[in-house]
Amino acid sequence: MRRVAVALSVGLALLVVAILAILTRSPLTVIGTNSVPAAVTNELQNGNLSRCQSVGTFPKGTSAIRIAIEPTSAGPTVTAKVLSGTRVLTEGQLVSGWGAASSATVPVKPLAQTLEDAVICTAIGPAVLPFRIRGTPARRSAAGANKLQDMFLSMEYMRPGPQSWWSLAPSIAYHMGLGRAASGAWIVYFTIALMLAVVILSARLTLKELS
Amino acid sequence: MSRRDRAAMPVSESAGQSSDTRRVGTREFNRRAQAVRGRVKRKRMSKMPESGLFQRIVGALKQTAGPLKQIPRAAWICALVAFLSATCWSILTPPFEIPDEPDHFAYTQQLAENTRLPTSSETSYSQEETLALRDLHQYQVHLTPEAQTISTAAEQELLQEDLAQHPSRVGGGGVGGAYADPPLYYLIEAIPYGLASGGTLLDQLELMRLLGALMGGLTALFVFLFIRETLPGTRWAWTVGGLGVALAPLLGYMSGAVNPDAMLTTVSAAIFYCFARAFRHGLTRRLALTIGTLTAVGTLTKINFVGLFPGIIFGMVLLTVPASRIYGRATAYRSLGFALIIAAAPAWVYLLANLLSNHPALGIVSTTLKLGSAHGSIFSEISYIWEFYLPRLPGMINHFPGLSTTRRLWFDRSVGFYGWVDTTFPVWVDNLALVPAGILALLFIRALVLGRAALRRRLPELLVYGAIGIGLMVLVGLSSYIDGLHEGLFAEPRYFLPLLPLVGVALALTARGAGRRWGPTAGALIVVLFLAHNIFSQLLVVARYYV
Repeated sequence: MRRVAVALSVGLALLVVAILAILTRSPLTVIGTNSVPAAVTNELQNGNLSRCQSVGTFPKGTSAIRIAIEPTSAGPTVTAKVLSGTRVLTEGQLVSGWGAASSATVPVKPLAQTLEDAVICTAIGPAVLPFRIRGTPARRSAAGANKLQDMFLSMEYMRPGPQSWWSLAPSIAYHMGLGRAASGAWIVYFTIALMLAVVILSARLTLKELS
Repeated sequence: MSRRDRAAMPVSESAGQSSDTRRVGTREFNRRAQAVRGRVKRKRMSKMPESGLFQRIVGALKQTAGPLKQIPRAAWICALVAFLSATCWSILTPPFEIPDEPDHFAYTQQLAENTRLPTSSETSYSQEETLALRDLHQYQVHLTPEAQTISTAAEQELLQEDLAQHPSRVGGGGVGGAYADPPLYYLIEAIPYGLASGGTLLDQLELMRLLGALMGGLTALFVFLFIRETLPGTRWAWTVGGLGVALAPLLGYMSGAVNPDAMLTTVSAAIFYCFARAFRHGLTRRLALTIGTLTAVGTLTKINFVGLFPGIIFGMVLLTVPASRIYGRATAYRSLGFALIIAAAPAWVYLLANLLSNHPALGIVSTTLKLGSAHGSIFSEISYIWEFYLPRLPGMINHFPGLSTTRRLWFDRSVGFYGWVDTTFPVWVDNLALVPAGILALLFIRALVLGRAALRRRLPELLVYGAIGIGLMVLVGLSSYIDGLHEGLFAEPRYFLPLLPLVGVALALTARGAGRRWGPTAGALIVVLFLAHNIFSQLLVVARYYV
């Protein structure tokens, strides 16, 4: 009885701590782009491709690069390296198998300083299914312009925004109240109440049956 | 008149003579009065034209209430937890942001408004649904994780104004991918659709989602009962498995949506329960017919149920052998025959209807029948299906270059794969999830090793469950092999929700694997783990759509 109660209490306490810890963090926001518009979309059949492109300014603190690569249902491995000249300053990888999305968000280690004249090398691993890339053709007249080498890929730089999840809660609640049968932020409190009921019922049943 | 004569006299007659009644004793008077009351009641009942039917209904309800009373309270609580969880999911997930929900809604609307089956796999939705999808920005939001749902009062007003103008609810009969699905689920969904028809489309959708949540509750109930039958000796472990399944975010996510997967999961859970009961108590005629009926219901719910079919047939045949020793050969085989006829009836009707109308409406099943001719060799198909789930063996063609299917498609996606298959946890969460998953796997293996004698004894039962599971895996793998190039890989964990009862038993066994002393403690931690998984999954969906 005592062991179960202790395990349950510790588990629930850890859960609350984890939720609070997450709420104090901030969601990723776009802080800049490589100024390449997504003017053209090309479909590629196979992966194992790479290209390096000058991106100009690479903002400090960037913790993810969103690259305009769109898979069918299981994306290939995407690796991004940020270089200054020939020196790799930071890099990251999105492993293969990521789901349907309009772009690949590759996490990278943030840089302490903004980088001027940065180069980003993108490598796409073997692809199980065709995928699309978006950007601007590198050479308008080039034949076979559907290859990665012939495209400037659109990229966005992301880092945690200034506001924490916690401080965003009122606007999230307002947002959640829109576009549904029962409008209004009260729906959020109702959902929280439902989940609290789930927690209480589960905890009581566990205590009763497992003790 | 002697006391004996009066007693022998017809009661009505004696009751009419007040002087006589005064003379009899109190006990005799009460007896006669009771007899009169009974006769009057019977007379009244006989005047009611439906009295026979009424009595039969009451009798049936009483008969049903009996077994219901035997269901443990813990099972009902698990059902309630699953229902509440699915209700939360139904609220959190924005309208039409679950795979194919617009198609499933359109199918129901087609049945309810046109009273006809869909006519094509095009998307010719009603004006009302088209407006709602446009005003909700559904086309821009789905499959695009960086796009959120409507966020301003102006957008909300536009949506409300458009829906308030009562746009037409009659569609063109094209319901997209749902076209190949059988109609039973949609017929049932037509009830909440009709009940909320006085409101807007969004009211109807929410009520339809709540019906799915109810199905989620029923699923948890059947899973609990399945665990009780399969592990009868460890009462506390039933709750671990039952709550684990009830709290599983995937169940909440799919049950909180308009999607036939919700009902398919419920029907499958009921079938697993019936099998467990049959293996423990014998295949009675009633149980055989129940399995047959449930199989028919499953076939009429979603075409994927066909994957479970071989395992179910195998199980029924296997169970008939011992049943023939108990009930007699003729009785047992007659029960099997009836059950199989009931089970296969919808499939035959469906097949016949499609053959007559030149429809390839068996969807993935019909494409499966075309195997070999359209694609590579049978070895290529087998190796594809193997690699779809497991690491490639030497000598196999590499169908998934650079992709670890076991890890990336199945494990990571089981950790979190929500919204319109576009909402996943960051990679570090998938990596972190390996730790608890590894511990659970070790405990599970320990339980299997410790209970190997019991496993050997129950090998036929295990074979049946295995056959059901493998049948479904082969169907999904084969579908992906055939249509994957055009429609993407069919690698969504939701397709395996019908195997949820096996997950429940695995969780119960995992807790038992911690030993007699620590088992309940491990069980409590498993419940907290699934609760945490559910809550963080909900937060993920909130972050995806509303920030």
